[in-house]
Amino acid sequence: MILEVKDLNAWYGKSHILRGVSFNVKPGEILAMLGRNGVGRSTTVKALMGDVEKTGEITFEGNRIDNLPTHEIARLGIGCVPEDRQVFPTLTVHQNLIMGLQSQGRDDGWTPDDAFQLFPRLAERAGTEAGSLSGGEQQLLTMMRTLMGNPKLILIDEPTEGLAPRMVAQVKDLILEIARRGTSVVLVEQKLTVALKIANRVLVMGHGSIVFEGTPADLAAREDVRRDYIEV
Amino acid sequence: MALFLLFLANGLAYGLTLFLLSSGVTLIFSMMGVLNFAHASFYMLGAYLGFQISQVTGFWGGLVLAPLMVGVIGGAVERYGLRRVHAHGHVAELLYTFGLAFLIEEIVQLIWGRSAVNYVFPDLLRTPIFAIAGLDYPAFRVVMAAISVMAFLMLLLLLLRTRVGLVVQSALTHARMTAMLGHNVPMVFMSVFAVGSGLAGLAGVLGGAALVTEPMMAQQLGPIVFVIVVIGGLGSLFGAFVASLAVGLLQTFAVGFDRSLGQLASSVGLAPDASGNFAELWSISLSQIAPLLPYMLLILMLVVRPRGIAGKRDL
Repeated sequence: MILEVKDLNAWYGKSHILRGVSFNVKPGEILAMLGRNGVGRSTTVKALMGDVEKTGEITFEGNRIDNLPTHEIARLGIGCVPEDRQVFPTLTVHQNLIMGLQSQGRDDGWTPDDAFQLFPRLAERAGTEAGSLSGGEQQLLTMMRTLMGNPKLILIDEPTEGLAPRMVAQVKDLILEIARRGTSVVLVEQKLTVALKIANRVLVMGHGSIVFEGTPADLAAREDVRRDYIEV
Repeated sequence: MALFLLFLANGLAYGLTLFLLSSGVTLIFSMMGVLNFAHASFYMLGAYLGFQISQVTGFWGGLVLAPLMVGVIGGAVERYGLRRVHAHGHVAELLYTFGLAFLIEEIVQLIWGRSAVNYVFPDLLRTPIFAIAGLDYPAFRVVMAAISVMAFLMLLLLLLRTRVGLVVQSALTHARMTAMLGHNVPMVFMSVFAVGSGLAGLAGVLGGAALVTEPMMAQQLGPIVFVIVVIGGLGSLFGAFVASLAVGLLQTFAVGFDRSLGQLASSVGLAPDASGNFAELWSISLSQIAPLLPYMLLILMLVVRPRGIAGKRDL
């Protein structure tokens, strides 16, 4: 296991959001987290990154990380692409990518050139302010920026939200490429079709806890779970 | 014309020193969202420490060491004070810096007394380098201006041309995302606070020697700094630079051109009644209202353009 989460509880002020969440992530897999809005998927991501008040055990590559500040968690090799696509709007596209580089980068790791080869559109706009990119381009930039740090595990929150179908396909391909290069992926996703197509395993959350765990095929067979916790 | 040049030179030197002081406030505000009321106290600390160190090492030792010491003190204030208070919101932070300003003032009085200390530039810097309209222009004004310009350029280079600058710029607006990319944001905050305080200390070493080093100097200059930050636009270094020069020039010229409001009105074609109901108003001299001008500008700015010259958001 690359990541083990045991009995994770998290709060926003007095609201108890996560209630005893436990799960594992295996090396190189894509784990999709499904569920409706407000059930705690994004909070799980934030808790893993040390960004909310929480209790419970989080172990990454055998080391406890639940007491570490966010930047140290990131330096250990957990990358995060938050749901609101936080590009640094006044920095250029290239500068955004540089911000993702970490000193302990690997020789065979991701580089800004990779980003520009995969997405020529980003190369064309390398010198322009990132705030002027379209939503889809910003999403790709945010993902590529996090990849510059060569994380061993990447948490991606709602990457396809609000994107045109062509962009959704590009994001999907990028996630597959990330996993192909050996990085584990935790994917928080609203679109069932996307998640089922690329995930190796699926977690379904409801009311702050995990209500289903299995393969995409398992979930396809469980109409009750889909009806009660996913479909709107 | 010669007099105009003299005022211009004086105003620029004063304005540039004001910028040294206000750059820290604007950086700290845009990063942490806190208006540091104690910032002018760091200016005062710079002056007193500069004075104290100069007793041992001479002026130049104080010029180097005092800003460094004030920077360290500023860093400690952030690390062990403001960071803890931060969790309780901006009001708590504001009160904290407010209290700190009084604390520093009391400590300064305790150590150095209530009256001014004898802190002046060395003879070398007091010698005139040129004279305009029969008035000598001392070398220290040129040195003050040069140091301020250098500090501005170095700050700009650091912010715009280095990776550290990129991290600072990113943390200014997206602190959490910056941390998620592995950057130590609390350390960045502390460093910015330390650098901002150090710059205020540097302004203090220069300003204290040029003007007067006494326990009221923080209170006198503190409000002007906020005027500059608001006029320039909260969080904008460039805006603070322009506003500092504007306020420096405005005040210098107002003090320099010692005309009454009546004379001023006459010169633009109005005919004030020197014996009427407003006789006293017309006899007020421009130099008398010079201290008011920055605040009038502040109010005007808030009404007309709340985001200041180059601010990114309204107040």
